[in-house]
Amino acid sequence: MEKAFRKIGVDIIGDAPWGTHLCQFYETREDLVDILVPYFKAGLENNEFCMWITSEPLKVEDAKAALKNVVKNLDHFIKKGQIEILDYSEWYTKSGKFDAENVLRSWVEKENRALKRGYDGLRLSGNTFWLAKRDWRNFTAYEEEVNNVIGKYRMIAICTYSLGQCGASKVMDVISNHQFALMRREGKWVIIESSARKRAEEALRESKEKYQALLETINDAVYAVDLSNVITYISPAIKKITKYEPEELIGKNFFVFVHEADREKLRNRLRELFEGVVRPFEYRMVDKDGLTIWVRSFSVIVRSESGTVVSINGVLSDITERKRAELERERLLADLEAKNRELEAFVYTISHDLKAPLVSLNGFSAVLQKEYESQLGEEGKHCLERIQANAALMDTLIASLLELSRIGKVVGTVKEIDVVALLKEIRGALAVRPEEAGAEFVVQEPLPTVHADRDRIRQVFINLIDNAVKFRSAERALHIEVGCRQEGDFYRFHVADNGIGLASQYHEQIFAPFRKLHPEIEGAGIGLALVKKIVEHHGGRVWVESPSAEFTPSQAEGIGTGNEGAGATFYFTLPKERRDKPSRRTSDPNGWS
Amino acid sequence: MSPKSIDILLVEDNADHAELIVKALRDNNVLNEVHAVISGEEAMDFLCQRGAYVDAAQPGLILLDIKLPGMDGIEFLKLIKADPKFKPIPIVVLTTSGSEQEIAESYRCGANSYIVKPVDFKHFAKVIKELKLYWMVVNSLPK
Repeated sequence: MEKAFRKIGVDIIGDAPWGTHLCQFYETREDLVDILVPYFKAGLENNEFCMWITSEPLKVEDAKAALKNVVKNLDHFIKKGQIEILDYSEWYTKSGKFDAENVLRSWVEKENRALKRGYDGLRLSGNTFWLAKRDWRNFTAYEEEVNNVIGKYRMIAICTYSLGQCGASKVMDVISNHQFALMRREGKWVIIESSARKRAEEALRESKEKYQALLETINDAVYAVDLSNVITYISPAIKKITKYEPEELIGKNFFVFVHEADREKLRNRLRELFEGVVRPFEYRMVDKDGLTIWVRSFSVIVRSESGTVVSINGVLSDITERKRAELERERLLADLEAKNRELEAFVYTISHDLKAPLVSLNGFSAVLQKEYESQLGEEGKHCLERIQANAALMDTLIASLLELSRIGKVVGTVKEIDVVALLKEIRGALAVRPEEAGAEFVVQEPLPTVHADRDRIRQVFINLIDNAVKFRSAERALHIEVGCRQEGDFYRFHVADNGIGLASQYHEQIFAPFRKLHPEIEGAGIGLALVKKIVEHHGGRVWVESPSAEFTPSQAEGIGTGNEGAGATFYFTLPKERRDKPSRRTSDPNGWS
Repeated sequence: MSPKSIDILLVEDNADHAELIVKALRDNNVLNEVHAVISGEEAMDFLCQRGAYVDAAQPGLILLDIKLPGMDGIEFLKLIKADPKFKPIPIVVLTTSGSEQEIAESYRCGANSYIVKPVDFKHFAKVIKELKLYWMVVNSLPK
């Protein structure tokens, strides 16, 4: 932000900001009058407190008279106290000799008091004619200090030096301690800048240009807003975002451009910001064409040295595309979930409706068997048996379908399950007890406790172990092993067998419902589909490896090297931490839930 | 038949199921009079002794299929249990699904017991025993 410029009153200088410190080399009294009279006139006319420290050749009365020529009511200003014209002895050497610290302090006091009295600042001039040789170094040091600090104050200073008194080296000293120098050349006043200052100015300009260029090329807009929400600055990138030029926005209230529906939220957010909560915020604005856009802003509070808030600054990004994609994705997800629910409801209804005729089928075939078996004959009995077997199969299929359709809906309570205890319990529930099939059933302890739906996990183990028994090899004794390994955030369980295994091209297929690789082996073909659904519902995954990698050579005796006949290991993972199936969250970009 | 025997009202819209239920009862020497109706409305008429059922006896047991056309089984259940005249009649709900929800709702609406179809006699006998209707159900000739 640019500083305000003041009228200097000297044509060749024009306007300059507070903190300007220049020197004037004079030869005659007229030189002094030429510059200082219009200088102080401008100061008086612009509500600045003026101090004119005089010395030979232009003493107090001369100065007053010269100024009165142009400022008719000078007495009024003097009486009012807006201008003090003093002799150097009453300022620089008040205590008898020049005390740099004192003088500096006095200037600052004067500036302070001037501001308190309602003036815009302090404009001064001091003549250095009185400087004796021995004071030179002290005074130069003082000038250097003034040059360093004057930028902080609302002060403008012209220090006047007699050219006659200053040799070349003194002139250099003076110029180096001032921002620029005024000198007469061939009768005309010219400005001389020190090359150091010139280079500094050049560097500043370059850096400003770079900064500006950067602001213009980045896609995010940088802004500054004051405490009444008026935009005090906004970078050119805002045009890319809102189609408004910066000029169209500066000076206006920011909320005018915020979407009506989001204004309350934004106000709340600002309140949070003042309480010290700093985080990005997403909301809608309305662009120049009246279209709604989504933006994300990150603001910080800027305080002055005394701690008062002076501005809210920040960066604004356009996230309209991302937001649209997000909202679209949410819509699709909701759509998908609705369709899933529809499908599940459909399966549920159909399964129910199919049960009724099945009841009748079973009922009448039972009657037939009971009362007319003797009249049926071999073929008749066989037909009846097939009818009953198929009815039973339909029963199983329907029950499985029902199970499948219910997994998502019925959320069983998640509890801690002691897997070892669970396994002991299910041995009684298995369709064929491993022992009856001549199998060795090993549980690799210890097994962890998991957070899951007990009934469903029970189902998983039952299905997998049942399969291991069903698909055993006729050529060797059946080994079944259940174990677990930790993998990061998951427990990885395995159920391994040395049965007939399955070829790798079927490793994915078998988890699909009703997929049976061996039609001669009984079953609805739904067991693994259920396992998959249950495990995935818990946040894990299931897969198979065949040949089985879990058996040591001794345990795997008799296992061939081909794919089939090498056993199979089914793996499934369960998260260690209880994790519910991720559900659709309501659309709320600002994190207000 | 002993004077204590009760009439049974069977509310079942599926003719096959009705046939099988009655057969199951008869095969096990349950000789009580079974009145079969095919809807909740008809059942109401029967109980209220109106329309075609002006001379109907009051049943001592109702077997109610939960899925009925028109007036839903649950609706019928609620109505009956809300009427002080009919409230005391024990009602056994017949369900195909055995779904916990259905059963829970039936009990909530006042059902006394339930049987999952197909109705086999063992289950029927168990329910009758629990409802303390055993002596009302006639077994005349030993099997």
